[in-house]
Amino acid sequence: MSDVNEVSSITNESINNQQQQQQQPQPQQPQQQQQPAQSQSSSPPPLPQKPQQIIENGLSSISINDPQSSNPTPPIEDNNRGVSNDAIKASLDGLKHNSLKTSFPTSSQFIDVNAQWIHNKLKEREPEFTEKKAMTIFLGTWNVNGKKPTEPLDLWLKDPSMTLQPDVYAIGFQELDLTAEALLLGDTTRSLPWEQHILSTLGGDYVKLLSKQLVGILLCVYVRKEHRQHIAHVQSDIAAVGIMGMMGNKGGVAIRFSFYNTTICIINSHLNAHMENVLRRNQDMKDIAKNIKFVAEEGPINIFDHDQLFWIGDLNYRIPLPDYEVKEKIKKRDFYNLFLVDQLNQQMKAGAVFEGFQEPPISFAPTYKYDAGTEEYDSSEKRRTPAWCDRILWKTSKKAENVGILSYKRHELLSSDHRPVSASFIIKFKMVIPEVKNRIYQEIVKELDKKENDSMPDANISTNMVDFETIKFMTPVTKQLVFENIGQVIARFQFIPKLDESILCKPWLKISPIAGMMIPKEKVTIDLTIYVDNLTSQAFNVNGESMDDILILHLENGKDYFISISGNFQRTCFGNTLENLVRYPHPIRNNIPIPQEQKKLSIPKELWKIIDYIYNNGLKEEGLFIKSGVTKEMEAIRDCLDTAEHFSTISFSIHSMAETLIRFLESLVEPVIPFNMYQQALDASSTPHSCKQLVSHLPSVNYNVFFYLISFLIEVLSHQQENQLTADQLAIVFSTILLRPSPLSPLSQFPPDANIVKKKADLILHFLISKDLIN
Amino acid sequence: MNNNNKIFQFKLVLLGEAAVGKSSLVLRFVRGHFLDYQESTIGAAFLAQTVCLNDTTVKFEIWDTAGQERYHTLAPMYYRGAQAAIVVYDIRSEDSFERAIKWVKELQRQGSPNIVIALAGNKLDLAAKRKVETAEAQQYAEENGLLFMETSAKTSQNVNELFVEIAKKLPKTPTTRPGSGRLPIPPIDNNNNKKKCCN
Repeated sequence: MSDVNEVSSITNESINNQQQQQQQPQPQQPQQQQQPAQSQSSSPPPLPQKPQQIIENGLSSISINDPQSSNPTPPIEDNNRGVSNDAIKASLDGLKHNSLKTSFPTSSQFIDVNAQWIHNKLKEREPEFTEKKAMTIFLGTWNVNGKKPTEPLDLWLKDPSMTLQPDVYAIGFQELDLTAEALLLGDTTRSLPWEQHILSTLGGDYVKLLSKQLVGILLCVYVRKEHRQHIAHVQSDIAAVGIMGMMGNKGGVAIRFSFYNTTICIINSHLNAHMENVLRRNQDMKDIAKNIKFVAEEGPINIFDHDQLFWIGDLNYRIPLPDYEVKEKIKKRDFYNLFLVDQLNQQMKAGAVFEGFQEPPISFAPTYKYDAGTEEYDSSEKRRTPAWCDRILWKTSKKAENVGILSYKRHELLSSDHRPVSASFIIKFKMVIPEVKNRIYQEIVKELDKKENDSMPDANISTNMVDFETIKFMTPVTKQLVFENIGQVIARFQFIPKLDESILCKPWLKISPIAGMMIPKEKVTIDLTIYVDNLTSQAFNVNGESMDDILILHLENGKDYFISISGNFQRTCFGNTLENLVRYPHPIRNNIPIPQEQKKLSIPKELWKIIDYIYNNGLKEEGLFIKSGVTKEMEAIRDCLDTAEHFSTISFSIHSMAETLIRFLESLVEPVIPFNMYQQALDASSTPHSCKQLVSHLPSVNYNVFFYLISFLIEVLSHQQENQLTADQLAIVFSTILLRPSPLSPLSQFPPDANIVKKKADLILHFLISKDLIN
Repeated sequence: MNNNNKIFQFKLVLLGEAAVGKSSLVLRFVRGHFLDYQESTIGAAFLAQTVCLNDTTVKFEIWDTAGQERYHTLAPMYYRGAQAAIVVYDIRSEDSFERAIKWVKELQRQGSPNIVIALAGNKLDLAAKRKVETAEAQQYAEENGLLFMETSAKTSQNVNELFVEIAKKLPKTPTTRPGSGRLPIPPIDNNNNKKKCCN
């Protein structure tokens, strides 16, 4: 007997795929499948009138899926989620190292996100670079009951009714080897003759992909030669369910591979026998499904992680009816009512096994149990009830297109007590056209680059060179820069330090603001101010540095602008050192020092000029050193001192000259009593003798200046009656400028307390009162 | 195509004397256009461009630097951490070739170890006024393990090819650290600015 389901054409009928997948297979009743209520009803639907309907049913499963719903966003790989450990570690490393400190997340994070975006875009355009193709797969299962290959397999494998040459053959055997060697020693030599037999039946167009054996269970996969190069990730695994999960002759063998981009997994299993072992068989299936594992590129996967999953084999489910009744119905070809009570059908309906699997409609007689070599069902004493032990099921993953059924039938090979069964399916798959995919990939990447570059901030700076020209001591000069956002996006900017530096600019320059934000078309004015004070003048006066700097103005996520700063600082005796000043017999602005080895001046000539002027013009002035000078006049005096211009060329009050003396002494980079003698000087202030000792230890220039100043102040005091000055007043005024702590010392951070002020004043007072101390 | 999902990111810096065409090369490569009058770069311009090779994708973060000598001391900010550098000279100028050699030496001394350096003799469209012979530059490049190409940003000759060759030569091992991204910004110590207002 034979049930031939011929396939002559493929229709493009399309129905909702999900609805299809939720359906349990119904025997020979395709029209009812879209009416779940009826499919569960007890009244039997009419029998099919012709096999064509089966084909239609099968093909209806080849639905064209809506790509939006069936291709959800591809799973995001773990390493794309959030900040990677590497990124965190990198930022921590950055924190440890100043110059690596960054306000941007490390870019490894950007890369993954970008790659993901490109991947998604590519997915969206998949139809442009893929071709839809269809392949056919032939699945065969046969329990050979330990028999060796004797009869030709053509009836089974080369069924003349097959119009489409299968692209893939997956052929499973059970009870291939019932010997103790196979069971105990894993001997697989018995499979060889079968494999040779299959290959010679299939002919030269096919090559073996892989075969895998577990005792009597053998699964062999063959493919057409031209496809071999497009098949990858070929793996196999086994799962035994016999005694203690090892050694048993029951279990499953699985082979997986990818055919172009479609992943396929096939399981051949032999489940436990006997009518009553339904639950055992259910458990066997679940154990096999759980225990078969593969390692794919993306990590460990199981059988359900494939686009198409096929499960074939001697599943051993029976028909729980009396033997005569079954045979009666077989004679009448009333397979529908037999199928209703079929254990596998019942268990699947109840959701107890093969969840989500489907089976093509059965339109053939039970395949078990025959008297070997005959067409008679079991005539032995046991009279086993015929059953559909040998089955072929499939499950399509949600994201793949369902298969189309081409045929499901039994074949009349007689040597075993089972009949072989086969099913053929059409699998639709997408074939990538690499050149087109490559071109589209490049287009996407180019588009992303353009967007990224276009979205970078852009700004225009009014000038890259700011020349301050002449800069005088203690005279601030401000120049302005205009920074304009000429880009499409918000521009955040900040001045940044040069490599391995921590300050933005030289200490004599002030930038305001140092950071900011501009919306498109907005302008920001940046003030650059140069101010050279006592602290910063040393660089120019003593070290001879030129006044220039380069600022780096950085746009966040964008470019950097360099701004060159230059100025011409007028050298001055202010903010200088005594040691340096005595090397300048000529005006300091002319910058002609005495060579190191030549004799220096005993005191700075500027000091002599100031004191000489006061000595000649101001000793009797009331409030000398107490009243304030005039800033403009003092600037003019300073210019005269620096240029050796005569004082007679300018006009000023004597108080401006007196304050100039104080300012000059105050501006000295190091006071007359050097920083390193500050504490000693405070300690020495208690007695005239210790004061004298202290002064004798001053460096020679400092000693000269000290001596000269004290002599002058004594002279000032000699005119007390006119100028109304007291020794105490002068001591307080001059002690604070002759004796001060280093600006680097913590002492300079706080105003001196009364005790220290008194000690300082005492030191000077001793010299003013005890005139012989400086002799 | 298998590696399409992986983008290797590299920092690339352009160095060379002023007016040899660094910015023009970058703009030709990234934007595909050329300006007869390209403003001189005073600072450092940043652009991104991706090169698709057969099996991998390489994204360049390109820093185009100022060529003027006064900014020389700032160059390490940009070549530090760079995995690739293009040192550009003008084939019409011996001086610019000499300067290029100095840049190469500086990169070999102070640049990242294993930095891929390409020497580019630009303005090939003006070959009639050539002063630096191809063979001379070629030999120097070979002796120093540099990629070498003569390019024209104006005609686009060899511009893409130059970047593709660099992309090919860059090591794409799984341990490749991605480019350092944008310039690292150290914390700002604004003491000298704050002082005035605190007094």
